[in-house]
This record gives sequence, C-alpha cells and structure tokens, in this order.
Amino acid sequence: MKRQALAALLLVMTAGLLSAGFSVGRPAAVKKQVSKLDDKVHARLLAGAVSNRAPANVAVVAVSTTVAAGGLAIISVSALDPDGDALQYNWTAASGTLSAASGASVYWLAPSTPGVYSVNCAVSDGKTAAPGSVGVAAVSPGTLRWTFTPSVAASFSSLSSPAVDKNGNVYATADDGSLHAIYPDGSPKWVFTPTADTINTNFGPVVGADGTIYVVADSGVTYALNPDKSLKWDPPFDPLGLVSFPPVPTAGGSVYVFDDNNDINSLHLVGPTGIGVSTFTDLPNTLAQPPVVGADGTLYLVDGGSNLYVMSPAEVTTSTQADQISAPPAVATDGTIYWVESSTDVYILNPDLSQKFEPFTPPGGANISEAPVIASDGSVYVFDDANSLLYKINPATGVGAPFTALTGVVYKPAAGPDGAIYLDDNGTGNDELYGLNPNGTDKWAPFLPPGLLTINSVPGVGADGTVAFTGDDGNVYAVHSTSVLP
Amino acid sequence: MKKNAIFLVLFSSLLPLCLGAEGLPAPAAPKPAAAPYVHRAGSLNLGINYPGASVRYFVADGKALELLGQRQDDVFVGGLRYYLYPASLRRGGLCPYLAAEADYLSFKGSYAKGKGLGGGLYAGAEYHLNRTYSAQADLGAMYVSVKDKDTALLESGLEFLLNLGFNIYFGGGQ
Repeated sequence: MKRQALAALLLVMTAGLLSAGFSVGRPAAVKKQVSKLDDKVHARLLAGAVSNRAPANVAVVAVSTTVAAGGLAIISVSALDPDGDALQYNWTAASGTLSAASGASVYWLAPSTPGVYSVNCAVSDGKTAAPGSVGVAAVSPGTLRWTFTPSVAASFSSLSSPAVDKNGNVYATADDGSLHAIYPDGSPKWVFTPTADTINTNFGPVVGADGTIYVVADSGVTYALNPDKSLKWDPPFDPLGLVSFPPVPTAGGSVYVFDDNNDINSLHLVGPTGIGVSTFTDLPNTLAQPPVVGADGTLYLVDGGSNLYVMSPAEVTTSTQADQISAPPAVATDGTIYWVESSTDVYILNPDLSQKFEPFTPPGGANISEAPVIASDGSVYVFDDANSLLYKINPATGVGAPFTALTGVVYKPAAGPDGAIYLDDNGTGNDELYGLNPNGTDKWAPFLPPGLLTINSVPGVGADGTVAFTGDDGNVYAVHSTSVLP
Repeated sequence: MKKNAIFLVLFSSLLPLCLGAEGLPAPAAPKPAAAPYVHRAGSLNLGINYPGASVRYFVADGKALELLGQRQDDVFVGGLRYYLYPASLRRGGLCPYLAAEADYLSFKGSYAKGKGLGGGLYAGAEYHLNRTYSAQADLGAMYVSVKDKDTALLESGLEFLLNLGFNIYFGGGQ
C-alpha cells in the first residue's frame, strides 16, 4: 500500500513537473533551445533577404582597346543587380577626358601621350558600389591599326572610299560587287552581296547618322542595311533607272537617291521605311551634281543649267544661276555655300545666296573638279588637281592660301573629326598617307603600309579617328588617328 | 508531448505493478527488514530511458559511469554521466543518487542546424525491483548551448528536465 502510494506520488509529481515546464528527456530540453535558435536564424534569413546586395558581374568593355594618343574610345559597362535595383554608373579616368561622368556608355578621349591607361566605372545601386575598369592602349597617331585581306576571291582595288561608322566599323566595296563590313579590330564582320546583282564600285558605301549603311547596286537599286547586315528596307528602293551618285542621307534617317537617267524629277527622298517620294517636279533641267544636304536639312541642287536651288526640303526657297558650276557645292554648318565655277573659282555665298566674299581663285591655272571639303573647324579645303596642290580658305575672310608644301596631292583630302586633314601625296616619288594638323604641321611622318605601292582611295575617317583606305594590293588598311569628344 | 505522456503513463503504471510483484499481501508473520541494495564495482547494466538507451558500468561500489544516447525530433544527445549512490541514503530497494553529465548535441530545427554541448546536474533515485531490474527517475538542470552551422548564431540556457528509465543488470555483485 505504501509502495502504491509512492507510485501515485511519483505520477503526481511527474505531472506537476511537466506542467511546470520540465522536459522529459534530454532531446526535449535541447529542443527548447533549438526553437529559440530557429527564431534567431529565421530572423537573420529574413534580414538577409531584404538587405542590399552589391551590383555584380560588372564588365567594362571598350569597342577597341587600342586607340591613337588623342584618339577616341567608346567604352560601355554592363552589370546586374541581384536585388533588381536601378544602377548608376560613375566614370573616372586619371588621364584623358571622359564625355560624361555617368551613363552606361561614354566616350573617352585618350591623352596625347602614348601609354596604357585605365578607365574606371563604379556601378552603384544607390547603397553599395562595385568597381570595374578597362585598360586602353594609346599609340602614336599614324600607327597601322590593321590590314584587312578578304578571305574570298575579292579585292578592294577600286577607287571607292571605305566608310567608317561612329563605332569604328569599316565598310568597303570589293571589286566583285560585294560589301564587306570589318570590325574595329580588323576582323571580318559580314559580307553582303545583293541577290543577282552587284554593288556599284564607282563610289563607296555611305553611312548615315543613325548607322544605316547605304549602297547602290549596278542595277540602280539602293540598299539600306542595318549594322547587323539585316535589310532596313525590304524590298530595297528601286528608282527604275541608273544611279551614278552616292546616296545622300539626312539627319532624320531619310536618304536622297538620284536617278540620273531621267530628269530632276527623279530625285527621290526615301524615308526611313524605304518608301521613296519624288516631289521635285518643278525643276526644268537634269541634276548635274550630287545633291547636298545642309546641317539643317536644307537641300542644295545644281542642275544642268548651272542653277543652284536651295530647297527646304522639297520646295524651292531661293535659287541663283552661275556660269558653270563645275563641282558639287559644299555647305558649312552656318549655311555658307561654297561652289566651284568653271573649275577655277571658288564662290562663297551667304545662305540667301548673296555673295559673302570675293571668289577665291588659286593661281597657276588651277583646275578644281571636286567639291570643297569643309573641316570640322569650318576651314575649307580646295584641291587643285591640275597642280596637285591643296588650298585652305579661311572661312572668316574668304582668303585662300596653300595649306601645305606638298606638291603631289593625288585626291581631294578627307577631314577628320578634330579638324585634321588626311591626304594622299606622291610628290616625293612615293605614294604616302599624310596626316596634317589644322595648322598644316605633320600629325605623323608620311606613311605607307609595308608592301603597298599606291593608295587607291580617298580615306574614309571615322568619328573615333580611324582612317581607312584601300590599296592597289586589294587590301583595306586602317590607321589610328586623333579625334575629339562628340 | 504525446509521446511524453504515453511514456509517463506506461512508466507510472508499470512501477506499481513491479512494486506489487514484490509486495504481495503480507503474511501474518512479520517480515524481516530487506537489506539495502549495494551497487558493487563491476556491475553492468543496460538502460532503456526516454527516449534512448544507455550502458552503465560501476567503477567502484556506489559509483558508475554511463554512456547514453537519446534521439527525438531531429535532436540527438550523446552523453557521459557519472553516478554517485550515497550509501547512507539507501533504503531497501530504493537507492537515491546524484549524477553529473556532459553531453554532445546534434540538431536540425526548422531553420537552424548544427551542434552543441550540454552539461547538467541531477538528483534522483533508482528503485530495484529485484536483482535484475530497476526503474529510475531523476530531476535536474541542464545547461544547453547550440550553434547554427550556417549563421554561427548561438543560443544557450538552462533547462530543467525529468529523466525516466528502466535498467537491466548483468553480472557483478549487487
């Protein structure tokens, strides 16, 4: 009886202990602490889920990791934010000049001293930042950037100039009628050959401000290609005639195409979608020179009667007649018009066609057969192909003078984005590429790629300073040169 | 909790039965007083405790070392316990004891997972049903420290607990 009472007492005590919070067995006791730890860990996990994580996968990339000293590099950054936060990009460079301190893509103008420089970008989500950088080598201007030899049975011995887009991609028409796109590093990008047709090699491709590449086929059909080779217009624009002038893009993404087998009514304005309209119905004569589009979209036409028409854009606003306009006009950004009359005199007109300065006439029986070239600083260059000389006209005075002592200039010059002038001269007996500063001094020593005898084309100059030309060996060459920030 | 209750009921039910087996209706003649149990050195027992098992070895008279293991709800406890049975407290089959214990802990909770250590002091009694079987219960305080492996977060504190078990003795001299 006493034992049963003891057992009962034990039972009652145990129940009491349990209700007092005692655990039965060690795991139950441990479990109580584990539950508390669970709460802590859970809280930590929740805190971790809402706390900020820094941007990741920061990649800073330069379109070209080698540019000229004083040349332009396009640099972009990509990054991911694990939390989906909006990212900010903060650019810095110890040397050189950045076009902007923020943005996913910037231009960097390299210092004028060759070397290897770092461009840095801190990618921030507003709370934390992750760094990134890219190294860009700046080499002396005039350094050969690359030589492109087509892998197919084609060559680039035609006289048509290569075109360089704002990213440094080069476009060149090969003798077999194909268009070759070349990456900024000189590697092949793509080849375009029209179906059952060939590209006209009398003039090179033209690149619009939006990057569209325009080429004209021998059939007269004009193709507009996107930088990735896809057709911007499909089908291409067919003016139903022959086209012997290069297309003239406008700033708005349209392009003028002239069918010179017909009268001036066949000047078509082709819109961004490839629909061509011809509204030039009131002009009596055929177009004699390629059309020129001013910076404000004004159209300048010269017809066979040496009439210059200023149109805005399809309606004649003013016109004047000359004795013999012998080359396409050139129009400065301020609207000043330069035209060549009788191949000897350069007339300088105000936008209202009143005479601005006395005509400039190079001495010595000059023959000017090509349009004046207007550099970015407003200077005007005129090529006298009778004497192989180059003249520079001061836009403030209208006074012209020999620009360089070179006496064997082969073609009209090409102007770079920083006012530099590039020309081909063979006055020394060697056909060489010259890079000249706006003041006429040499940017580099006369240059000819090894093994090349003759430069075939007027150079094409890109916004990044790349100078591209074709040679008589059938290759395309690119040379590093200087630029300015856009 | 349900398991605890079941075990508690079983333990409490078996105990009086066992006690009753030895405590049948007393004969008319006075029964001589039972000699107190003595845990002799060399005794060995296997224990079934809640919720686990143990093996206990008497290293000296009234002094034993026990290895024990318990597992419940993803919590494992492995421990080494030292028993001291004060001779002066023995009364017949009832042998009070004091125990000190160190434990290794392993656990997996809802979010936490890791290892830990524990240590406790206990006081209880073992009641010998006969030479082979005994039941025991003790109360004690156990200091528990657990650490989450991933976050290194720690939690520790004192827990009070009740231990229950049955023992089966082998060999040795009780």
